[in-house]
Amino acid sequence: MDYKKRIWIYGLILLGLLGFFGTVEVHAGEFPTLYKGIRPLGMGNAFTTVADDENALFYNPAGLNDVKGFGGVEIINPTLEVSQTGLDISKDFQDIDTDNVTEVTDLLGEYIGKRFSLRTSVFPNIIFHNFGLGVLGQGSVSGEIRNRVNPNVAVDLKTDVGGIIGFAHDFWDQKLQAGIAIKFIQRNRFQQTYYAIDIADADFDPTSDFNDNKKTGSGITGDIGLKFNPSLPLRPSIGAVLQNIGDLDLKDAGKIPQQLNVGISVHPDFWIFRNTLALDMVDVTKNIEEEEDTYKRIHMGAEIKLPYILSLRVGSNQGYTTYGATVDLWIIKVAYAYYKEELGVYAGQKEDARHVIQAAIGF
Amino acid sequence: MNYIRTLSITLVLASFLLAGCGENMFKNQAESTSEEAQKEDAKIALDTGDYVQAITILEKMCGDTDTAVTALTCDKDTKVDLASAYIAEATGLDVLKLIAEAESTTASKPKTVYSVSTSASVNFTKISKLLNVDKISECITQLNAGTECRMKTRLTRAINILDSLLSDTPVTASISSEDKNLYLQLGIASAVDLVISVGVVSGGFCPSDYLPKTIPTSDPYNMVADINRDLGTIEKGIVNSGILTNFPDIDISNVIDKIKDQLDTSNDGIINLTELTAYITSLITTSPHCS
Repeated sequence: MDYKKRIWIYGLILLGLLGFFGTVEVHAGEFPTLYKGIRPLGMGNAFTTVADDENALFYNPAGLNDVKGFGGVEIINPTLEVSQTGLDISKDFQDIDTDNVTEVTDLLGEYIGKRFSLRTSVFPNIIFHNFGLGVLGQGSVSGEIRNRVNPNVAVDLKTDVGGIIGFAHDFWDQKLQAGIAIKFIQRNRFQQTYYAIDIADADFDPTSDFNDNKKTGSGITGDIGLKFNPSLPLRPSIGAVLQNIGDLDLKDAGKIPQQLNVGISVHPDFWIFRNTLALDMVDVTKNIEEEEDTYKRIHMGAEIKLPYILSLRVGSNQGYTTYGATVDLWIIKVAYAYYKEELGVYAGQKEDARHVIQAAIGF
Repeated sequence: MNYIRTLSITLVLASFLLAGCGENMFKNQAESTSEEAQKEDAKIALDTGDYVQAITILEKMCGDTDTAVTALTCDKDTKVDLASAYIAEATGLDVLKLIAEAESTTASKPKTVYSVSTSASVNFTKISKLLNVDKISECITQLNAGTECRMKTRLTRAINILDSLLSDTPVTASISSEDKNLYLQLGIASAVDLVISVGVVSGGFCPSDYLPKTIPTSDPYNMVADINRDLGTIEKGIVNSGILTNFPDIDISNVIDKIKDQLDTSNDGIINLTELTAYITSLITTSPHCS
């Protein structure tokens, strides 16, 4: 194998492992969603009845009714999400002699079957009582090498641009809240599986493949959400949201199916702490047929809000522990979340740990 | 409302304590027996190199080694995984090891250069050095004891599965990358089996140079039949993968092609014990080649 070809092969494998070729969509695996907010992720992504900020536009528009007066504007709020595997392999590659083939292949062998992913997004938005508007820009990349006997590299690259608007209203003194959100998304997508023979081809050129095989599509859909808030101790709330009504069909670029999510929450506040405990089940009708497992649909979370500055979160996303925190310094807000996503067919089969960080400027 | 406050504190603390669990809390409850779940478990086993586990799962889905290849009950993707698991479990070979072996240099095993040689022994050892000499010896011991050679059984099974999945006469322009890769896998697996068969009929390989120990005078385990099958599947695999014409840098394919030519000197696609003996004689000058 000549030097140039070796560089190509290692480079492709490394870039695939670092996620520079795209996000992977497998048959079962990661639940299809448009957007995941950092606050929900910290609390297990259980947000159907919790949504009372800009995340309501994605999780349950009925929550816009919980916003009091002027809810705020975020002028710029970049989010960065990176997989633990990506961080690990970046560090490990610095510790080896990359000219030593044995060390390189040994290292690569440790990461076969592990996904490397990277997601960035911005979602400038403005939120009022009963109204919300935001613009989404998002890019995600991941790659995975599978089967050490007969390796293939699966890559997927996605960029989304779009807007979302939401309205809400309440009945019987907020005992019942209802909301609707309309969203338009344009997506560019590139998905490809490379085998050893593709990589060995003298004409191998992923850049050309990207230009030739990129798919573009756009779609519009809506969400309808409800929340019922009986007057009981601990202020319980029961909610449901029908997301992506009729499917968010992005034509050649894929589809995000319709799903019905339900949730319940209580608010065990004490002293200065404002607390939330929430439990969600997503896609209760199992409209996403390739996802068979019930436990992958379960999300639980808790949030403690100290006055003004600090919020702490913990949760269980598909059975995996999550945690997060937000430091709110009025104009600047910094948030972090750690969570694991289930990539396998059933809860606990194949985890993917991720770190998310966001800095938001607004008021 | 003291009980409310107490309940609130308890609930919040409990949630933070429970969240400290490391494992997935649903792992033992989740539905793990569906076909899709089993397929993914097998793929995970292949990823981690647990080939025994992969074979256990996949044989339950497809059928074991007693089931005819034509009667396997699983889909193509699962059959391919099963073939991969058989090859790796039988030979210990995977692509990363192939790359490492090709590039590594030690005192006893100088760097393998995958360029075609006119010397039959040089070409032969480019494949034989990838194998575990002790496994070949174990295979011979099993055959001498009247039991099956597990290594050969599994490798033969993998070759038969791949052969059954791939057309003998594909339309070249429409072969997918996936199938080209499978053709290549078929060719390489067949070449490895051919070398193992030579080892078995020769009483094993010499650890010092990975060449056959002896020149055979008989073929009690009918390795000639396996070699003839392998010649056919090497041709099918290597040619239809396009690797000889489109990938000039993949010299291992040229090495395999040369081994085939040097073995089948009559070029009729069939060898007999005489041709096999002549080939092994060209590899080693004396018999026994080692003690």
